[in-house]
Parts: sequence; C-alpha cells; structure tokens
Amino acid sequence: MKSAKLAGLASIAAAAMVALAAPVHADVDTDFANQLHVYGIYGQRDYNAWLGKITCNRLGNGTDADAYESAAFLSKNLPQHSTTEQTWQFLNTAITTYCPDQIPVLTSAAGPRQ
Amino acid sequence: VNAMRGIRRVPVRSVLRAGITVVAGAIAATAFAAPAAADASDDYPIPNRILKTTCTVDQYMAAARDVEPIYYQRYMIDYHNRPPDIQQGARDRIYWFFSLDYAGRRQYSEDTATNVYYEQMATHWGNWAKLYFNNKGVAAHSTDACAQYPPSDPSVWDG
Repeated sequence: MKSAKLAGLASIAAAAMVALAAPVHADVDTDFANQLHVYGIYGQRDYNAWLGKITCNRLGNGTDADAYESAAFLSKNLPQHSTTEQTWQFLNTAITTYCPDQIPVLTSAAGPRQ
Repeated sequence: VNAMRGIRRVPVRSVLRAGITVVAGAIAATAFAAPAAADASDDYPIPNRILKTTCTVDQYMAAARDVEPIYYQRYMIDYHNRPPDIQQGARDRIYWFFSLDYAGRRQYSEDTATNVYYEQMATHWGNWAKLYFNNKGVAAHSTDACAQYPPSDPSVWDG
C-alpha cells in the first residue's frame, strides 16, 4: 500500500518534471547557422560552427591580433564567392555567439585603424 | 538451326583447353603480382609536396593554421591529448624529417611504406604525422602558402 502510494507520487513528480521543463533551447550551433543564413552565408553547419570557434580561439590566444586579422583569416576559409560584407557578418556573429568577451575587438575595429 | 549452319563447329576439347590456359594464367598472374601496398611512390605514402617543400615545420604549420584551420585544429586537439613525452617525440620526429633533403624524405617514405614498424613514433601515436602526411589537399594548400610565414614560430604548437 505504502509502496503503491510512493509509486503514484513518483509518477506525478515525473509528469510534473516533463510539463515544467523549460522549452527546449536550440543548440547554439544551430542558432549560429540560422543567423548566418540571414546574411546568405550557407555551407555545412558544423564546418561554420567550428570556424567560428576557431576564430574566437585565435583572438583569445593572439594568433589574430585584431578584427582585421580575423577577417583576413575568415576570408581564406569562407566560400570563395563570399563578399567582404559577409566575412565581417560572419566575424560579428561568431564573436557574439561564441566569445562575447571579444566584442571590444569589434568595437575598436569600428574606429580608425591603428 | 539454319542460322547455325554457317558457324564453324569448334571442338569441345579445344574450348576446354583454352579455358584451362586462361584460368592457369590468371592464377599465375595473381601469384606473381607484387604485393600492392609495399612500394612507395613519389606521392605515397608521403605527398609529393611534403617531399619537395623547402618550408620549415613552423612555416608549414602556420600556413595550415590559416588555410586548413579545421584540419589543423583536429590535429592539435589530438596532439594536446597526448602525454608530454609523446608530444615531444612527435615534435622532434617531424623536425628531423623536415631536416632531410628530398632524397632522404623519399627514402623515409619508402621505409615507412615497406615496413609498418619502421616509424617507432607511430606505435605510440598512430596519427602523429597526420597534419603533414595524410592529406594531399592539406599538404598542397599549406605548402602553397607556407613560404610567407616566419621560419620559426613556436606558437604553432599551441593551437
């Protein structure tokens, strides 16, 4: 009797957990891909996601010293028909998605180049 | 039946004999064929571009980091997952390889192709030279660009 009650409680709890679970948040790489699509940048989702993360990594470890170097790196690795504008859109999205701590790099690129 | 009349009848025995000869020939060809994987070529197992490049290891890796970032990153993740002595061994070995001239590299290519145990480094880390030897496209893109990088840049191992 007691165990039946326990089992009942458990099933109610389980049902509540399912019902109250936060709405499933899309994978961040998917968000990234969706944003790229807005700019007309397509290609393999995983490739683009990795490229975005590597871009962050390079800014973090100093391989790329500023946003211009990042853009130069990206222009080598985005599809050849990509425009300069798309390259910067990719960079912007990569930073805001994967390494928001690097946003100042973008802001400083907006001013005159040193 | 009328249509068959014009065709010369071939004796069954000679057909059999011809068949046996063909089969015997095929068996002999199989038996005497050289083992397929034993020989190196100027492009296998080590890509021709790697045999011929005059870039240093650091130049090559810096170029790969820029033009083949995902392949480079995969290799570096694998590298960083190895114990320090294996990392050191892989670094020493690839610097040694790049110190060889074309003939030396070609010979090394031959040695590794004909003797699976020749490269001791590979027994510790199977993909120790993946960034350099395993992909002709990566080798081609990276050697195209490598000359413009500084000959020495230890940061290429930090990626």
